Amino acid sequence: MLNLGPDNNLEFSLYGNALDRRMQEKDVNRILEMAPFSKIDASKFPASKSLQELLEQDARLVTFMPGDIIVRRGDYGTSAFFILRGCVRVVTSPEIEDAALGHTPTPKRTHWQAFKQLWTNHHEPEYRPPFKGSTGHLQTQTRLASDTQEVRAYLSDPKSVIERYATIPIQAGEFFGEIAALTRTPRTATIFAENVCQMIEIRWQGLRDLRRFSTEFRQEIDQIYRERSLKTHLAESSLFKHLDVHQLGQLVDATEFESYGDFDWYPEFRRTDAARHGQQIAKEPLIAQEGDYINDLLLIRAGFARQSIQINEGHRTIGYLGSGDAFGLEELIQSTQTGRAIALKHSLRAVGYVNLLRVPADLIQELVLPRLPSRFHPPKVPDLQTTSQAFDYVESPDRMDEGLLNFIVGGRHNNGTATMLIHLNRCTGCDDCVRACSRAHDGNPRFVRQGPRHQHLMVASACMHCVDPVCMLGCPTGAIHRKEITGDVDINPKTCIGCSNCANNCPYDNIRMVEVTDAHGEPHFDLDTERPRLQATKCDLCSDQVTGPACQYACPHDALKRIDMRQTQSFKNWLQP
Amino acid sequence: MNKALFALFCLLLSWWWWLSLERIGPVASLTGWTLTGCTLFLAAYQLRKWLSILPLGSAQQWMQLHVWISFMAAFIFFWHTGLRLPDGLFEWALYSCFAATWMSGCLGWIVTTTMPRRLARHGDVIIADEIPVIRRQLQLAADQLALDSVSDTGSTTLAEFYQRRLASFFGKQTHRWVHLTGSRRVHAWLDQEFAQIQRFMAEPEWKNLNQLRELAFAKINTDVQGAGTWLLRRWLFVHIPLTHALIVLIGFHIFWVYLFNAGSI
Ligand code: HEM
Repeated sequence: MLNLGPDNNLEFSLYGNALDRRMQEKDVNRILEMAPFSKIDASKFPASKSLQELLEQDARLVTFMPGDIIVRRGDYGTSAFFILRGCVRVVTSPEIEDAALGHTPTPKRTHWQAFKQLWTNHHEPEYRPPFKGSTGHLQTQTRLASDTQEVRAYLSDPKSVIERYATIPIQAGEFFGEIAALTRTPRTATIFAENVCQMIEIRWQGLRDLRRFSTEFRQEIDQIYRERSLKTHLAESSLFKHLDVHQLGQLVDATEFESYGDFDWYPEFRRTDAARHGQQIAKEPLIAQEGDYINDLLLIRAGFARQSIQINEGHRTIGYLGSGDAFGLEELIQSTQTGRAIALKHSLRAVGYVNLLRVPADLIQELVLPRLPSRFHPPKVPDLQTTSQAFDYVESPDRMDEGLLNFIVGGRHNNGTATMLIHLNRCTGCDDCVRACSRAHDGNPRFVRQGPRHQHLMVASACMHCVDPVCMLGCPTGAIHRKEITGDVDINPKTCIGCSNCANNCPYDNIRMVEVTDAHGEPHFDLDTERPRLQATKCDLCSDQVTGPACQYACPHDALKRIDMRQTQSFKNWLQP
Repeated sequence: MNKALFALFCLLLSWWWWLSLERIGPVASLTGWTLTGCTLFLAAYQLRKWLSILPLGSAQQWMQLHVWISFMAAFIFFWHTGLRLPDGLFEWALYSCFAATWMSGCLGWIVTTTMPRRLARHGDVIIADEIPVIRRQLQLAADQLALDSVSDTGSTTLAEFYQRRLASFFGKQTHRWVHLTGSRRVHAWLDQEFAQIQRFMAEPEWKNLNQLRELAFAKINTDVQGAGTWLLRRWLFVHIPLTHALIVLIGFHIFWVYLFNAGSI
């Protein structure tokens, strides 16, 4: 947590209009008088977005009541918090149980329970048992925040949580949540308000600009990132497995982290006509340019990047990189072997957004390459002197077809870890997949056998369990969450309040809001609004079924497969006509 | 997977061979029981589909076994019948029911493995439920185009051509069997119709004509997809009832054999 100085006892007026997310000018002025904001050099900010405007647009004042859960372990955050008044608690151990965070612990059914579904499945569509109020100190409940009118989950007895769990207090004057917000990575711990807390919440856009224009702020954040996360990330990379602690430390000190593109890529993506998705390449932020000499090895931390080469006036896609992939390694190896500088053979562009680490080339050459096992050497890229050599390279048979690559990257299907693909040369349209899905979900199929197509490939409308699950941003109760063991994205029907945030965020329209019914097929009513109760539904990869994904298990012709799009080889193998 | 299936196939064959060597009973009853077992296993595929939530092996594994065992069943069938023609009405019924089930399976297998590829190659694959909707949309668009052409060009040639030659084509699924054979007769017919009418039209009318041509060819694709999905679904309406009839006939057959050959096993 970024400790940038103590708080003074300022009184802030909460913004008049509860739905207005911006701060008023006088609030901003007061904040700017306080450390750490008073230390920021406002003259470094551009005229188009002064520090004052930045805070007005990208920050807001929020009040949390005792027990309110501010961030939940595993959630993807988009903002950081600076405490003005009050104290929050970070739960360190043991981890708060999934149920208390609004997540579902879904145990696998036994064989008997699986069999029983044949006659216990309900005839009514979207049946749900009566919704009960929860009890016990760990159960989450929700309430409406009086300032922002947002639904918030809270722990009903925070004192007993503090007694039973190891927690660390964070006091006024400290930041928290900034790394997860800046790098779009999951929150690493659950944090709740111990008493009434007043905070400034800064959106990632604001954090990004603060970091860009304020050297002090940038240094602080980078230092924290180095201390807390970078070492672990680098140590996890297979490229650095053979380094000792000292060498790893050298890399950590020299590595920079950067973001390209826009975290909020999905609203624009949803608006863009599907046919034009493939033509986005020119608009994608350039990270590294083909032909430039290489200074750093780039390691992708989060998001996706497109590798392309230029032929005549056009850019041709030759692959996409995701978390854990490296860019520039081949050139660095060649340059070490030949002793001369080698220019980059591909360009790299951010698809949506990319977080990456820049490790200086000289350190890689000195510490990493001499003992890097050859199995980590990337395939050689030939020298492409002429246009026809470049064409041969792009169109070589062992490479994925460029049209297909554009379809995958343009449609952001590479985001999926369990994308439902249908091979149209094999699919007989028997609907066994839909029937099996329906049987595994109490009579309600959780996908539609329709979707965008490229040649004989169809991407069906089923949750892809994305690497970047934008559906998880802004769920007020934590009902939509990533399962820790499998990484699947799941919705807990017990805590879903039907706010539709996830369905509206999903770039692929794979989450459906349904009216839920009781045993007589009558709608459940929301006690507050008196309207029929809605809930979000989507594919859960049959996580509770003994068979695994029922759709894939039921396909007689190997026409339907759930594929992790990062595993390009298995994808290519399955795709054979 | 295929190796495992082959191993299983060999195992079953050698088991059967061993039994026949051991002379546990007459070859006929041995082959008979094995054939019954195979047929029951083949029929159990339907049960497996219903029990899709149980880990009984994936549908793909069952499908592969289904094909292997059905070929084995044919082999045993000929062994069992001694390659002679049946005798009496009941035997004829049983014989032909097995043959028909088996052959319908073979035909179905050919259809399921070739048709999807053919449909995907022909044009946009349309799922069965959407075919009537798309057909209706095309019909409405063609109706509208014919009407608009009168006000656009002041000529009724296109409208009349549509009314006389194409209205019924747009109205329903046509040429199912022609499309199932893979023939391009309908494409050629339309090409000819459009070429002929174009000769009677002034150049300003060609734009509408070309649009109508696009709609007509989209309609052909809908018909091709419709014919293909029809066959992909309907062949099972033959295969499954025959399977059920076969099981009943086998039941009678066993009863009959035991009643009259009591103690022969
Ligand atoms: C006596 C012999 C046979 C019997 C009793 C039999 C029985 C069955 C049954 C009960 C089904 C399940 C239908 C459903 O519920 O969807 C089926 C499906 C099928 N059978 Fe057979 N079958 C026989 C022979 C064959 C043969 C010889 C072949 C081809 C080599 C074959 C190929 C198929 C195919 C392709 C399916 C459909 C698979 C699917 O799309 O799900 N069958 N058969």
